[in-house]
Amino acid sequence: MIDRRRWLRSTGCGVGSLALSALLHWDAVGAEESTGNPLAPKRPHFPARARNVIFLYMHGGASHIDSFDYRPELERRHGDPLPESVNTARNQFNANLGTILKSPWKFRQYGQSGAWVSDLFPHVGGVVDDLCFIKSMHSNNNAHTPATLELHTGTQTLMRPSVGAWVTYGLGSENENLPGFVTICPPLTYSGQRNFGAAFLPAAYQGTMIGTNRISAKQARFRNIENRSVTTVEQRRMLDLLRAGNREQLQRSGSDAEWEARIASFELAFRMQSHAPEVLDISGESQQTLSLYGIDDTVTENYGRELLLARRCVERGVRFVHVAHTGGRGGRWDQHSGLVKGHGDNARSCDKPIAGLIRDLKQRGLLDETLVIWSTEFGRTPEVQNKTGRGHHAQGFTFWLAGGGVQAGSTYGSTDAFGYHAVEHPVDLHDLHATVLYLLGLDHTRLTYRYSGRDFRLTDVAGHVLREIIA
Amino acid sequence: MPPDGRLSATQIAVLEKWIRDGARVPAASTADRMRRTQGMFVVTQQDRQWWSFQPVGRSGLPTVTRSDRVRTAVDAFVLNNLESRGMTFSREADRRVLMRRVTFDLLGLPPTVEEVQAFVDDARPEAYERLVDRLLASPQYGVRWGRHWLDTVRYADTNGGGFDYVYPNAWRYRDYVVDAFNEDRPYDRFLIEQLAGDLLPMDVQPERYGERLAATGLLTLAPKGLGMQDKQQMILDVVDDQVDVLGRTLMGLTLSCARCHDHKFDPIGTTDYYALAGIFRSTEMLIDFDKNPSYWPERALELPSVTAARKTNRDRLAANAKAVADEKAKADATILAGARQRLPEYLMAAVGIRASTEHAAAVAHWTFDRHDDHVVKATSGPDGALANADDVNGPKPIPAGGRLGGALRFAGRREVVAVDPGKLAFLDFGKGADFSVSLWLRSAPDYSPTTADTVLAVTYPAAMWFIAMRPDGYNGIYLRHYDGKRAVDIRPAVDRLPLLADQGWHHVVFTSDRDGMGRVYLDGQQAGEVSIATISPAAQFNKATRFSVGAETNQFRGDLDDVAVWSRLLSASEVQTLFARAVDPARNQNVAQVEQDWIARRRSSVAQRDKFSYRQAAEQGLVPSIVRRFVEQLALASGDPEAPLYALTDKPPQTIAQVETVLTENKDVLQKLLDDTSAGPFVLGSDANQFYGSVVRQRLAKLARDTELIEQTRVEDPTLAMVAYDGKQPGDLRVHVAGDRRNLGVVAPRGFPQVLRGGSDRTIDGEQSGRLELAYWLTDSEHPLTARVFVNRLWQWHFGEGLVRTSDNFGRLGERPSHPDLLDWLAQRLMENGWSIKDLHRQLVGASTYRQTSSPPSDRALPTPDSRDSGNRLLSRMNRRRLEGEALRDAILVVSGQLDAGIGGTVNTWKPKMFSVDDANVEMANYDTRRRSIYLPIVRGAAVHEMLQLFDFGDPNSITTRRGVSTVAPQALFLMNNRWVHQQAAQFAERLEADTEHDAVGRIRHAYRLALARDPTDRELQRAVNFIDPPDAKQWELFCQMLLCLNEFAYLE
Repeated sequence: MIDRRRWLRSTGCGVGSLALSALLHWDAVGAEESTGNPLAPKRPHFPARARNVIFLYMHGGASHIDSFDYRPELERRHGDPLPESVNTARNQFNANLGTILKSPWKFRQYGQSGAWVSDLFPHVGGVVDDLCFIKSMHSNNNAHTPATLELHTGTQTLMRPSVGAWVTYGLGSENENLPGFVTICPPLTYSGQRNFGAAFLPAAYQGTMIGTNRISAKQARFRNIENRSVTTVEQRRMLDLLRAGNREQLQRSGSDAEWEARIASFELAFRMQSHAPEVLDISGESQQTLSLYGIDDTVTENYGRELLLARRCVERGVRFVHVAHTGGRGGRWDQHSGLVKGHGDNARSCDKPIAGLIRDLKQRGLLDETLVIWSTEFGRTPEVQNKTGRGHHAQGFTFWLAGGGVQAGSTYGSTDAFGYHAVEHPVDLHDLHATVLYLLGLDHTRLTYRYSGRDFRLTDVAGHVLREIIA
Repeated sequence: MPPDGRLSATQIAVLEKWIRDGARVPAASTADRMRRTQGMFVVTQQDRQWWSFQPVGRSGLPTVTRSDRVRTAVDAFVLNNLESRGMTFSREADRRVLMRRVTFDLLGLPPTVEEVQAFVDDARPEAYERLVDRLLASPQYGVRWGRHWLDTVRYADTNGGGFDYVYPNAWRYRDYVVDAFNEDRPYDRFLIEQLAGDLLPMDVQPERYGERLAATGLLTLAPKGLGMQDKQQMILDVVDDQVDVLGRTLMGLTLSCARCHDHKFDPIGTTDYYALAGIFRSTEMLIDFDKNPSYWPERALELPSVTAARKTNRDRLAANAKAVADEKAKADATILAGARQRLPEYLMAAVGIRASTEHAAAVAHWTFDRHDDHVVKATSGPDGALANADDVNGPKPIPAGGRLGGALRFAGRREVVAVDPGKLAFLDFGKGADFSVSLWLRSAPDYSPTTADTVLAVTYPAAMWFIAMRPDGYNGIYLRHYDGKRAVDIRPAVDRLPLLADQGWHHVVFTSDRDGMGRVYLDGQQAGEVSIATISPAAQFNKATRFSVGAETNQFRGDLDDVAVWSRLLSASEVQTLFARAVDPARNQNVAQVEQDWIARRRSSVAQRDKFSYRQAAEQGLVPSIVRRFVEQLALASGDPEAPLYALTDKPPQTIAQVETVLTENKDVLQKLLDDTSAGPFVLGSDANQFYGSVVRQRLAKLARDTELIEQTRVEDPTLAMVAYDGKQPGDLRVHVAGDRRNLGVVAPRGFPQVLRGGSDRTIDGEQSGRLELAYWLTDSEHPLTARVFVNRLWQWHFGEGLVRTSDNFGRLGERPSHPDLLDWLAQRLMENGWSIKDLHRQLVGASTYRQTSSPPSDRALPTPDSRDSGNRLLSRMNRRRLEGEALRDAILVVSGQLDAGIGGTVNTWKPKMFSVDDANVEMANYDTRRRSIYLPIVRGAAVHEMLQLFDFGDPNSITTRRGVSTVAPQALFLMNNRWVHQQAAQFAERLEADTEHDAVGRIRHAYRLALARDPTDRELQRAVNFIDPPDAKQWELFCQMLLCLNEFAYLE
């Protein structure tokens, strides 16, 4: 018997692939030559703990000290200036800061692991025993765009392939009728598409957009997948005429591998038209599943749908799924003022869906091989800004991982008493990227691409795998 | 240590490949140190032996057996090589293939049907040479070859670098490049101008000074980490980009590798790198270091004398303008003082005018209660009908149950109705230009606009206003004023928006006061206001050309009811009344019904006095603009006991004495209003000058004459471009050990890589950056790389592969040339022929080598030439090449008849410091253009244009010296389903349809000629005839789309 997942992956994937022939961008003798299909599954460097990634990105800078990094000292010292012993650095993105602001949310302990979670995320609190918190993230730019680029590509300014593109380049895809890397309703700000771009890697590895955050998840579609002007039958007739013309030219002008590949690409495209929309069709999901993700509630519906789509993608073999959370209408996690309302609204719209995703993956047996990452470009300052908000803060913030071979119910690293600096086991983004690749069976020092006369890596010349968090 | 046992087959294969590839061993770190003397990298004699560092050779033409096939020197080299292997050229391609090949190659466009025929029919000798001459003389040549060049210098229209500001002026450099190719600017000159145009003597060809400045855009176009907090690092990263352009693009060397360590394969040390880096570090390519973000330098493309003349002129104009302002201020003060003395009269006039206009009925009103044959009758106002005029596309909205009686339903099918254009006089609001609009609106379930969806729109010759729904930022309804340049939106405050999303009926009123505020009311309450004074004076609401409800361009979904338009401002109390009486179950009154009461009341109030007008006020010496402001205050006061002028509206005075009594009784509340010199009534409009005395008028007239005289010496506005210039303190850099700017090694005096220094004794003057010396050194005929690299790239763009296939790497990791003597011959030819690029084109495309067929030999039983040369490196036939994304797009536009072939300029209307994607996620790039693809904006920090990206446009964040050629399904999906492709196919089909002389067969033939430069075969013709059945527009369109999808369309044989 084949399981559902394998079946989903195999349906309709006879011959062909998303990319039939990529005459790769090479610039040196001995550089990688064309393997035909750039998305064919590839063997990892060593046995993998995870096969797929769902990358959740909280757009705008979600506060660590109001969500998962419980710092009671902030309550005790509420209203006091930050002591001088804390070595602070100031610039325009964290200027005009006031005194210490305690979190407006109450923290509670959850689960067997007793992890502290604030009332912003009560549902995520319910799944803490599946999570591995990293409370010592740090980076060195607290402006949105560079920080977001660094989170996604490992560099703040240079345009480099995103982590999803690297993973897809390293492992290929398990479903030939779908892209290997998709991003669901992404924002286009903060260098937008560069955050899921392929840069110098072949274009087949770039993230394929399903909608953007300008439209609701319900309306999100793959690009150019529907033909609004003719029926499938009419289009098939046109493609038959096209094929006849192309074949005749091959006979007339002599064989050509590229021309053959191009003929096949139209046939594959025709098939993709029927497969890709199926991923987005959730009409077959049970009522129970829909409410698990909060799709039956207008507050949580949108992100719930996005995360359900993420699961459906992973189930069908999409290697890397990126799902940004851009907050309610027009809002980001960027509360320089109005923290209570802004963070409150944002969390309300994603808390239940995120917990739902973890539970759903787990009950379907997918969590073991799917790495879920909860991320943001930076945290927020312990001091108040504009009376009711917090500034950007890159010296210490929190991520969590789940599934895919990480230690469930654990916490790694910590910030100081004020949530200011990452002090215990500081983790930078290269370390995180190295660890993500490791869990997928890839050695970050060996996953290279020759470009511009040298070999490039996601982690450049840095990065340490966080072996302590691996189960 | 030798391994135990045999190596595996894979390991042996790896070793074999390594040996085949040259058995290279990276320099070990100890070897690195041994190569240094006092910290400086040392180049050995062996290093200099590398082929590409040798002087460009000079050899005679080789002899060949088939000398009849030799047309240019190129052929002698290629054929000699083939013959030495027992091979020869393939046959010559037929003329149609050749025509298509060379036209795309030189212009990036397909030949026209007539051009193909003329060439095929040209029986005279040298027909092909004449064709090439014609193509090289076309201005489209510069567009094609300029685009190739832009790839190699990472041209873009936005900054990238993690801070994606748009470049409003980058296109000046693009224009420079296109012009330079068209003029056949000598290649050495071309490089010197781009590297150091600012440093060339100003007085040599001063008329070209601006152009030389624009050329330095090459340096400034680098992606810059403007938002980086480490500014020194930001500069060094830009410097590295420059070194990379100099290295890979201009010299075919990966110089950048030596930023952190000595080059692992080529004899380039870190001291060589920092010697070059010092030159660029001494050049200003960034400004505003103390700010975050920093910026880049832009300058006027003109001589300093022109700048000075402009300043003089502007200073004089400013002084003159100040004199005018002073004069007017004095006169205004006098008028205002006088006006204050006549306060009661002003109030009396305002009361009179308000009484005359108050409650004037709507100029048009539709209840949507009656529908006769889809004609929506107006209840009052324009004679007629809101019906589909002939020029309106799209279906009509359908009747539905409304808030009050019937309504119009819009179902997202781009429904639209419009008033007969002959009956739009009711929208001529005249000079007053105040107006109000009231409507009931209910949005459809699930409706959320994806773009701005128009609900109602009015167009005037030079202005427009429309009401629309819009997503994101202010999800909801707004009224936009647009005067052709600026837009102002009247929209509800954010917290009132959710109201509109509940799918219930809501009452929406906009009032637009020409001189003041625009207001919006939701369900009877004011929900927002904005000053529209900035835009309304420019907007002339006269001679409306169109009034429509709905729009054919977007997809509003919902119901509309009870739409009314007034040519005056509704007061807050009137708005409340309209709302209250509509929702009162006992009344349920629509606008016309409410107005019946008003009309009755107005008759009685106006009857008490004579009508009063602004003209009458002016005749009495009252300034109309002041009167207007009093009228507005009265409108605001109506029904508002808190308002200062409430007393005058509650019991309108009949005499001046009564006004004076009110004034005395309300002195305290009034004084504050009267003293307010910005929002109060005593503010003068432009009509004040009518009240100036004769002395003042004479003085102003004199000043106006002076202005005219100064205007005559006006200097045109400067043309800004991104430029580079020398920094104030040029200096040498120290080696940055491991690329770390905090870990400094020896000083690397500015200069050139040792291995390439040869006999040259060029040195760098300490006073300047050294760019000029660099440019001269680079273009010295002794330089072994510059000419070789460029002719190789030219070859690559003509043949698909370079003679050296690694066109950006002539070092040890690069490939060796397939025809070294030919490469050198071409390099010599370039230099000896005044670095003429067009001459080289003639050498290449004129060659028999180029003119061969691309078809492989058909007889597969025999050992084919191809088996001895599988990659066709020896060129026993021409290579097949796929059109780049640009050429494919341009070709589609040509075939559909839609191409705008204009040269130069930009399609964007960008201002400085805009991001490529704004906060509401809207991309700033304007892709909606029919111009050639070189004019599509290239965005670094967001997505590149969809079609370019799909068809292997390089990453504009770095140089692209060779495009990839991928064949992936998303390309096919684009050609099958993209709306733009459908539109072009439809245009193509229409073009065929317009040809009424021919029958279907004739049109099919014509379609093949347009798209493929040939006639269809009999089988193709038969298939097409069968396909276009029934012969309707849809089938023709699909047939045309099929032609655009053909391999033959996308490839050059």
